[in-house]
Amino acid sequence: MQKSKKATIGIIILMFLYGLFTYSNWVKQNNFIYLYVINPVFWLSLACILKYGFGKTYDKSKNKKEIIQYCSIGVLIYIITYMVSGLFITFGKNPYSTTASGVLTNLWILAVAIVSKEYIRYKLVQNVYEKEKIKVAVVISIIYIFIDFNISRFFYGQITVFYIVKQIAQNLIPLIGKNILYSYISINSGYIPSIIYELGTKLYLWMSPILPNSPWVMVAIIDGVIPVIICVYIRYVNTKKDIFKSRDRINSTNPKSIIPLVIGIILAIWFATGVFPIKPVAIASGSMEKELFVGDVAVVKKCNSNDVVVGDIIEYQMEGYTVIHRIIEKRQRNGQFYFVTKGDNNKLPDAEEVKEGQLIGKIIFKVRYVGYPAIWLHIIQTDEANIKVET
Amino acid sequence: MKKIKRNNVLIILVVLLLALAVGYAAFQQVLTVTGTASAAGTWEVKFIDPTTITTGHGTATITADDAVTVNATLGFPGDGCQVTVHITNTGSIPAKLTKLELLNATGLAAFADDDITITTPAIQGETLAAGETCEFTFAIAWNEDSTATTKDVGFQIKFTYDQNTTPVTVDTEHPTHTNS
Repeated sequence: MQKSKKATIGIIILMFLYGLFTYSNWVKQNNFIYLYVINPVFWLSLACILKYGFGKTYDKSKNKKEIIQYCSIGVLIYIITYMVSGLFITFGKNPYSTTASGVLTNLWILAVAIVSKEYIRYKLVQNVYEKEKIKVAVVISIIYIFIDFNISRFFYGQITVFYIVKQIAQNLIPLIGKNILYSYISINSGYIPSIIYELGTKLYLWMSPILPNSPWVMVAIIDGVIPVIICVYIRYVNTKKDIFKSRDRINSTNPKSIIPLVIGIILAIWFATGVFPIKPVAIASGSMEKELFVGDVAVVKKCNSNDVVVGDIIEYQMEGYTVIHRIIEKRQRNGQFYFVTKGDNNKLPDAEEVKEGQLIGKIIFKVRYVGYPAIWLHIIQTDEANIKVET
Repeated sequence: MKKIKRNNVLIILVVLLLALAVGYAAFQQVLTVTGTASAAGTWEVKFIDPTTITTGHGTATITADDAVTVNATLGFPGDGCQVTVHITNTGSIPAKLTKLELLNATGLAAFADDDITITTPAIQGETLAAGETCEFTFAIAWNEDSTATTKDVGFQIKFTYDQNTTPVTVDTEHPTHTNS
């Protein structure tokens, strides 16, 4: 069938109007009908219209199997990364219904839309000439992000800068990363790899009975970085197979050099967010001078009460914050340990005993000054989150 | 990456994934499962403002998406107050509240104080459609037989939820849930 720019523009406008519809009060009032009927039927119908309306699409990709394998590897790495991280942090119950009927329900309400949307992206991109494919892919990505990001969440409750940053990092950036990947695939390699990656990562979320309680920073990094790495790899594969590209050009797209850097960044983020058995803590008060100063970073090794003795500097949990002080006395009553602690710079011991359940870990070493950025960020976060009601 | 190498990587990753899955199933009894996992993007069920406590009796502060920390001061034995919280579903999938937990001030153990009675509303099974908000009220009461002159009470309220797969009608005037 002859390529038709007008048809593509018309479909894009339709999708944009549908995106506006998803934010309407009618959808809010009739969320069940929207979720179970309108949304899957709309995307499925649109995909069918494009399949039979636009006819067969002849794309020029020669590396389909390789790209599918790369996306499959990406899915496995994604799932394994989350599962391994769960060994270091706690798990939570999966909010998705993981019964057989629940999984089938989610396949209908969620998977149908995913598959249809990627097919629609591919058909629309391939329905225009080469020089306009990127523009079409970008516009489609913007519409999909507009629909999936759910900006209505910002209309509930008190919105802080920290909340906005968290939503951008945890939701928006991963959406952008994935849409970049899927757009590149739709231009060069079809639609199957996109479906494999999106469905593969989502099936893990829908079917696992437990999921790690991942810090939002970790989610932001993993969900945002893996699609970009896959995109870089796919681009390298396509460049390498292009006989018209020079060796220099091919080498410039080789992603092998950035992989160690990315892995290092991910591990550093995990370390900073406390995924590993040791974690950094920024010192925010001078109660432990001259041992620990404000702005220092103390590295805490997670342990239990049997691993600490008088003289150790420990971190323990209080209501809404943690304290780092030195143990000056260790007591035992009724089979439970209790610690009397004191800041080196304080005149008196802490008012209350520390129960062993409050013990987080002990300090194993410190680094001077590098904790200041964390302190500044914490000041911004806690000032905006302080919503105590006056009495 | 050469084809053989890619195939080997795929096989190794699949085996690793299966080993992890088997390991999880075998050691599930020793895995620590707390609360509802935060599956990003689609889910966002959380406490929102306003969170209030009877005037003159302390503070109630949202300390996490699923946690409110209450610090109540009671003036005399028999005194009491009420805490009102709001839970909203800003995600895109209907949710069903499953459990309400009362924890101590640090959130590390269950709340326990023989002089204090905290009456919680029944929330199990309460549905929250996407965009819906629900109000809950708790009552805190100090035992009349206590001999202390004042009482400070600190505790956390946490909830868990999962997916609601039954039809739910959005109620703009979602009824308030008070202690039973």
